[in-house]
Amino acid sequence: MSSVADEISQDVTEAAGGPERAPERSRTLWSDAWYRLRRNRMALAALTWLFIVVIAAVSADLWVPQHYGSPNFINTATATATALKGPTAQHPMGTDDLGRDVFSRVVYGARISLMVGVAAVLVMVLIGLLLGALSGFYGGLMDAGIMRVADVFLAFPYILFAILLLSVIPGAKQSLWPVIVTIGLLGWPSIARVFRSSILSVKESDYIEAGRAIGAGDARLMLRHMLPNAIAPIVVYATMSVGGAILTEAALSFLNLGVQPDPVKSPNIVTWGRMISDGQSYLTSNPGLILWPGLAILSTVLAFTLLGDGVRDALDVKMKD
Amino acid sequence: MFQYIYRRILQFIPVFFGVTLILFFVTTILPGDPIRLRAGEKSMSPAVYEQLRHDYGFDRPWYAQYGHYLDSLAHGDFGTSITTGRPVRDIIVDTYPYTMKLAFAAIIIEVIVGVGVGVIAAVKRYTIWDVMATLSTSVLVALPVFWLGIMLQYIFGIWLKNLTGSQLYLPVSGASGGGFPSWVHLILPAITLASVSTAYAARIMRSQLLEVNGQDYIRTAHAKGLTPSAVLWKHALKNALIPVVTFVGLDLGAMLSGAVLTETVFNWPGIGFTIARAALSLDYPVVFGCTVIILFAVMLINLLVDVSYAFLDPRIRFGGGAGE
Repeated sequence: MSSVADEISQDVTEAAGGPERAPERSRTLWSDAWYRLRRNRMALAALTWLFIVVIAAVSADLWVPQHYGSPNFINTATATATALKGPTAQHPMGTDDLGRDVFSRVVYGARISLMVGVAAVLVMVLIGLLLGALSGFYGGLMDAGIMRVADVFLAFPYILFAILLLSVIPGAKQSLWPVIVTIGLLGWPSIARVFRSSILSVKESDYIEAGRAIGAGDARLMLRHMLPNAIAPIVVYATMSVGGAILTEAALSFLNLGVQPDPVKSPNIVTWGRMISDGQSYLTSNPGLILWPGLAILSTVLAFTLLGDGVRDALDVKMKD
Repeated sequence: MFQYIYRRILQFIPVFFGVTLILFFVTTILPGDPIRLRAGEKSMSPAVYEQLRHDYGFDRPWYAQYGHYLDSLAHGDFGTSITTGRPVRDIIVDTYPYTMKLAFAAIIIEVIVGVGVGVIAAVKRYTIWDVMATLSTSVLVALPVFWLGIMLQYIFGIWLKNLTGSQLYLPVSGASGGGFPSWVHLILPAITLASVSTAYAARIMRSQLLEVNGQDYIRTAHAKGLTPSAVLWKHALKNALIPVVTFVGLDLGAMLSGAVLTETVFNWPGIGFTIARAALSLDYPVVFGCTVIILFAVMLINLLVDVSYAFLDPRIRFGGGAGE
């Protein structure tokens, strides 16, 4: 880690006009990365948009105009009268077939998308780090076994795997966990490979030998001495994967395999994919039902991709493509 | 060369068993009971229930069921659908041609548009064309495929139809009917399926061409007085295309694996649509059989891509250890 940081800070000092301009305080990999990220306009725009989306999703209960899911809005004369309307001042994105405000639903939809996206990537990183560490550190039969399993996961058409798992897990539609775990399970091989190859490249180096000599255990060697080497590519990969996880969640919801909570008990749980799937029946009468949740998915996923690109450049990580 | 192919084939064996085992476990540990599902709301006497369990082999231990399944696979027998009673082999034979037709149409779009856009972006680097290409590929990659499909349905099936008084529009559902020739039905699904891959192909093409353009032999070609277009078409493109060919090849495998989302949006009677429907109704023989076929297709194509890669790039053929 120190060597990477040195290299980067050297680059930066050189760019800033020669080594004599000493930084006020010691620079870490992360402070340098943050410095670079702030100068990347695309990444900054992405970060701003994600900040707005997160704030909107978290604070939705406080300001969102309509508690669209409350039974008052369903099965009443007013609901049918206000159903499937185009954009108005009161409903900037129009209303759906039950007279619910589409804008409110899109805002609430951000909750599930962000939650599933981030949690699935955490699951993916955890499994990937664990298996990558076992594989790279212990080698031998363990390595061969884990890497073959990784091949199997990569060879498997993953959306089919997700469909299969979610149709089999009992009560998959009542909670978020099955979707999160399924998406996490599908993505771990890439993380495992990154960590494994990073471990292999430092396993024989002197500082690991030294750590072992002073009595550090395997777990300590892996977590304190090997993980920091691999953290930059893993952070980059994880950031980009959040977008992919959000897309997968939306696709699964669209196929009616995602979260499908009881509309009366938990009216504020909405998924963008489900909104699109429901809106399909009203494509002729109100295409906005499809348009808005789709734009929400697109902008959020795009923001994560651009942020990932920015983090990659900021951390100076070389990736295959 | 043969040793390389031989080694690649050997590598597929554990993967094949792994995937079929995973599939098999997912389908046997399942909590859903397909026989009860078949009975629906009607009550079923325990004797009939046991008889059906026995008929489908659900009462035997898992390894016997797995062994039996592999054995029947080897004989080309994929079982029968639980919901319709049709042989899974017939279902595959009916649906797979549609998936292949869609996949090849999408690949053609991907190659023409992807390579074209990539070359333009690389040749006109730092111009408005390059910026537009980069922006549009970023957006395409972040698009939910099913949403793109529905928006295309709206634009070409509804909006255009209303605008032209039903004179001009495209079919948005199914693979035939509506008085259109069958290739017209392919247009929208193929564009939808190709969208994301085309963006990736364009990006790879662009970055490869830029990389190749920086190499010495290109400078030599310029120095000896070749025109820029001769350098591009005769020297640069040849090498820059190799990774694109690989990507497109692997992508064909992914597309043959059934574009579940695209086929669902357009009611395209292919294998992805069939699997998605079968999974929702817990029709495991159909899911299992179709997935195994898909797996074979994906593996075969990956193998072909690897072998063709070895033909295209001598470094792999002679490098040794390339498979590692």
